[in-house]
Amino acid sequence: MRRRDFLKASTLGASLPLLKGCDDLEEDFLVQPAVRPGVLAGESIWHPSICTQCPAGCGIQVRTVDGDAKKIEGNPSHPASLGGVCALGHSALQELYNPDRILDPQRRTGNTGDREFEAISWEQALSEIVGLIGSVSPINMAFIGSEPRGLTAGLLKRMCDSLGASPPAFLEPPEYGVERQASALSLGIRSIPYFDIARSDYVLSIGSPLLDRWHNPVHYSRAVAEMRRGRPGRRGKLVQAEARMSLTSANSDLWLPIIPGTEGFFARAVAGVLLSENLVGDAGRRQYELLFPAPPPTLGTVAEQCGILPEKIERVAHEIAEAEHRVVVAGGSVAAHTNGLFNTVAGLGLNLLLENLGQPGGVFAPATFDLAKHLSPPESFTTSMADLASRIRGESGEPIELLFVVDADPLHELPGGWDLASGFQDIPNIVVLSSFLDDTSYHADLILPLNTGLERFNAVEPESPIGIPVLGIASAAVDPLGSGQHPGDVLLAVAQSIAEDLLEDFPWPNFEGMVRSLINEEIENLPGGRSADGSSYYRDALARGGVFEAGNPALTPPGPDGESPREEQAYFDGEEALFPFLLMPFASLKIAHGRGANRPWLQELPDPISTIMWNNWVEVSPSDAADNKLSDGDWLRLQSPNGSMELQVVIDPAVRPGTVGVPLGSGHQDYGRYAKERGSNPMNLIGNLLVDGTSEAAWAATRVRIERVGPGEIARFGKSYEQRGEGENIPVGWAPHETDQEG
Amino acid sequence: MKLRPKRSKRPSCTVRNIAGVSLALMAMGCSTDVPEDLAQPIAFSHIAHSEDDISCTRCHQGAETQDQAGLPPISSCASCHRRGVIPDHPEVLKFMEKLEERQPLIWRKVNVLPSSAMVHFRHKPHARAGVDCSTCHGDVSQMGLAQKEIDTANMGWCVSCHRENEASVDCLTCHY
Repeated sequence: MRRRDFLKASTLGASLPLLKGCDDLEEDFLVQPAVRPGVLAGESIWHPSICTQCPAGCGIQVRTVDGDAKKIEGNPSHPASLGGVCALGHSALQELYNPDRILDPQRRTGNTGDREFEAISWEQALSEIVGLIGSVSPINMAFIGSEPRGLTAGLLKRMCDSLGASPPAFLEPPEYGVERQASALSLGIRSIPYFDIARSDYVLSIGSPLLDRWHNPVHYSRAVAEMRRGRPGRRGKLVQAEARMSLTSANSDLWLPIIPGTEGFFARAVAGVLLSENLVGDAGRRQYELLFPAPPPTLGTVAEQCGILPEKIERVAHEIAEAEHRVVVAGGSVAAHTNGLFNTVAGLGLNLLLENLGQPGGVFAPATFDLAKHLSPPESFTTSMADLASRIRGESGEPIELLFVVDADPLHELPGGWDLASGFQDIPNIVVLSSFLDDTSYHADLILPLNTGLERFNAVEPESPIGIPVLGIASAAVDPLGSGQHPGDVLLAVAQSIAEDLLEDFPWPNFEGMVRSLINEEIENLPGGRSADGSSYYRDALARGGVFEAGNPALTPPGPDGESPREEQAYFDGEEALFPFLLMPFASLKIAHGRGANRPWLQELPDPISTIMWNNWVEVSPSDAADNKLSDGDWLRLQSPNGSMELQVVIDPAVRPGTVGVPLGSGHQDYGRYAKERGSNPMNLIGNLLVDGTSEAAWAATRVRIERVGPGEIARFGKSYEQRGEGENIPVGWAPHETDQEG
Repeated sequence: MKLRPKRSKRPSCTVRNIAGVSLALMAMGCSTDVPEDLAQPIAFSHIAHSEDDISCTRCHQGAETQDQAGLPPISSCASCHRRGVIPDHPEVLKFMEKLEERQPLIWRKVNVLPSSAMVHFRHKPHARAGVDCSTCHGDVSQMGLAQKEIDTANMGWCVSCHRENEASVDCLTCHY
């Protein structure tokens, strides 16, 4: 008998009147069960589960006691995380128990944005949605999802296809789209490549925040540790070329604080040294010239442009050429300048020159089981967020009469210059699937609650590849609070309610049934699946936390598929004379792009570099602070061509003069008591520039001016730059302007 | 021994256990106004088991690893008694009958910490610190049914032991 069945049986028949007056029963009596119920009262049970806090899809274990989730740790069997879990993953408990969760479907009763809702039943909600879909022409519908790959995305694409609506748009960090495009051009793969850092001897990271919040911080943090300390007698080296001192820069062996927007030229200069000094082979040279037929610019010109000494560039080129296993990683903010595609292609292209493709410690194509191909073709078309934003504003395409948003918060995460909020006011019907009343869902007419990751059956093929195929599968770790559902279950229920002829396209009873069916279909191709019994294979996968391939990455990218875009200089929103500072937003290690902002644990957690807690801030260099008479903690107004906001100053000697850094993720208009109106959202300062050659937002291409508003005190764990006396130890992060930790 | 009071929104395991107790009492023909002198369900003999070298933790498996010492399922008892250890003893027949009917045995607790005291007693840290079972429970190995020998609900008794053994006497160590 399963524990849950036992408990149900125990409960059944015990009527409430019977319990009246029995408050002391548990105090006075002990139950000795007839047979073992599965667990003892108070016993800890660890359930394998999947972290849903970011697209990395790490495997986790949830410690439950008496059915309640108490603690989250990593699942050592899961190859994406190997037992690790980040702060955001730990905080999933506070998503589960968050007092501001939406537990039942909600219908708007007041005006849009008034936050007035009434609870309704699922039957009523589904009936209203079916009515809406029936009354709106498919060409006037629009759909937004959260992650472009995976089973839920596959279901959403299938639903749009079945309805005859335009393909969904997916909200993800805009640089991911640029990175995919750059990867297609330079490596011939249409997804984000895997960088085999753990087996590398030399990692040149061009802007990639490997140890911050990038594709899989847990996996890459471990890989960097393995590279340095996992092979006795062989220590790898990490070189970080990035404008601001991120956690990755702070932990690098050599930090090159490059001028923002010049990263592609830096990569070309490294190529120039490798080519001119014949440090590379003919095969690599030929491949590289397919991507860049023109010779690289001269070292002197580039060095001045990038703000990096030519000797440093030469040294990096020599060192990487000498390393046995080496890799060049490119992405993050370098992909978010207007010339982001060139920057990223130039960085990834160095792997061609160095013949790193498919080599141990090099770069690999992502491997995947791709169960979602049974739901929609792998390369099926999606709508770009920029195109959808234009439709929402009424500037192009068919007007939107029904907008369906699945587990995404575009009004918080997209640039303020896109002006989505005013467009939302004109959409007559907005349906949002969300666990919280966030910046987007409070514009909704109907909110369908989602359960949280710990309460749901889930199957996730991580969007962030790790070089070997991974399919995380897990049953619910705890019973659900409220009536929220998995987004896949909601989509299935909606599709099946619309019309009987759609049942053929969506024949599965629920999301889990769909996953089981897809696994049965693919079982011959899954590891250990040949001639396996479907039921026991599935049961074992649930107990383990998924289906994983073993071994090292093996898929070699085919090579360049076209020429690089032109070597253009980056340009910025705002005239330099009026807006002299370059704004560098960055994803917060703690709260990511905003998802973690409603967790007190994460708000209270000091930022690893600045040690600031609870709010976001603006990082200013000491020289700029002196010029503008700023003290640490002062309130500062940041003004861009698109808007203004006030933040507190953190004076940071590791900020390049002329730039200011602001963490993303704060400044929600709603999202519960811990996040609402806490800090400011730097995306509101960003205009509508796109990365050239793509449809992605150029969020690192905005200039601002600064103006002191008044004094203030900032909550931080450590001392400020000003409080730190001469001779005091300098913690990581408070480093000189350029570090060389070897030296 | 006390089950933890629960504060979560959804029905807790404890509440469900109460429901189970009620169900069992109903099945026994008892009302829920339990008389104070309700006898234990069987005349279990600790002394008989200790003479057979059965340690405390063989049955109370949670004593060293969990908050609560716990009781084994009746099926565990049956695993010995069904295989020829006094299978026809009247007390054995009583619980074998319960097992047959898949009904639990309901035991009256001997050592009770009132919930009003808000004490979270945890066996594991005490066992880890080397506190012998008999320190709090008396020499149960010489008892038939367990009897209360020490007033464990007396905070002064707890505190003096904590002081003697240099354990924490911070209020929040036990009261939370």
